[in-house]
Amino acid sequence: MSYRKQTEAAFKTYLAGKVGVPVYAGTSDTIKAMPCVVATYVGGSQNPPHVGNMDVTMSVSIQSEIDEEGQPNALEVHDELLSAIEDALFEPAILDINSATDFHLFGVTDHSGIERDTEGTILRETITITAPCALGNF
Amino acid sequence: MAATIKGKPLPYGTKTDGGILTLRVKRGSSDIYYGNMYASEVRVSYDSDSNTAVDSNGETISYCVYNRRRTLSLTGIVINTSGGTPDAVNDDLATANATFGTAIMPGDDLFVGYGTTSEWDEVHAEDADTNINNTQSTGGTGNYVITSVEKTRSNTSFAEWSITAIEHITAVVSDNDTSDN
Repeated sequence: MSYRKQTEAAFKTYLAGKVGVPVYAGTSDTIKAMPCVVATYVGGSQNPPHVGNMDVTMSVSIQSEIDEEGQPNALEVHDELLSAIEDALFEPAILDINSATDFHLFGVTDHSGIERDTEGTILRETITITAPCALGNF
Repeated sequence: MAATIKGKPLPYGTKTDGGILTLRVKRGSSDIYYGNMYASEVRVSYDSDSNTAVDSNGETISYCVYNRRRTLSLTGIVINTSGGTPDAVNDDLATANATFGTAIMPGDDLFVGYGTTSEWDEVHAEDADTNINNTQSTGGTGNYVITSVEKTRSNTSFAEWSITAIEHITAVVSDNDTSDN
């Protein structure tokens, strides 16, 4: 059990309940279909010291292929997906993630983004949050 | 060739080998709080009152110190402890909130230690006792008495207690912090 594995698993399950597209944990190398959501553990620092709780930084990306000829309304679908994910990452909604096993999120201390980047016809928008977390069922 | 210095042993953190302290707060013979604290800061200070005698020229010829006292300031996060007071049978947020809400007050006795069976040499308040459970004071030293308590909840931080306690040192004062007196 590691913070990366538990945190990504918790976010994957939580976000999958919010959107009707695939949610992947970890790197975008595993993407098999778009539009999709990718939840990635960026890093963490212990807070408070000696305790084992971590301030965890997670990035959540929404990825879509914007090809209006091949997939009409792709941008509209992407926007709705982004809105749903953004709402899900704010408090108090995000506290529902605490139904996950061996994972607890106390709150969100930092919420940044939305950062947008494109690669060909692929549009990726990323929200980054930092949250004090613990691995336990509280 | 100059020697290369690669490190020195130094006291580190709020306590050697980790920052978890044991606190026991008593009101009379009753435990009000008995559990742990992740201390973020510990301060021990010594001070006193003083008086001087002067000669006919106004020169100080004698300096007297009295009312020596030791003041302990603790800041940290209190945590659930199974078997403590309150008893954290359930290691959950409800118990954590109840623990934080424990009503300690100025005037309560305070004992602080490394664990359940050993006192903390640098701050302990008793004479020749080595157990935090032992509430007796002998040899002229007193126990810590809490003089102020502050509980802090702030946005994006874990809730903390800040406690200030005082011990009047009425008799023997030893040569260093780690002696019993």
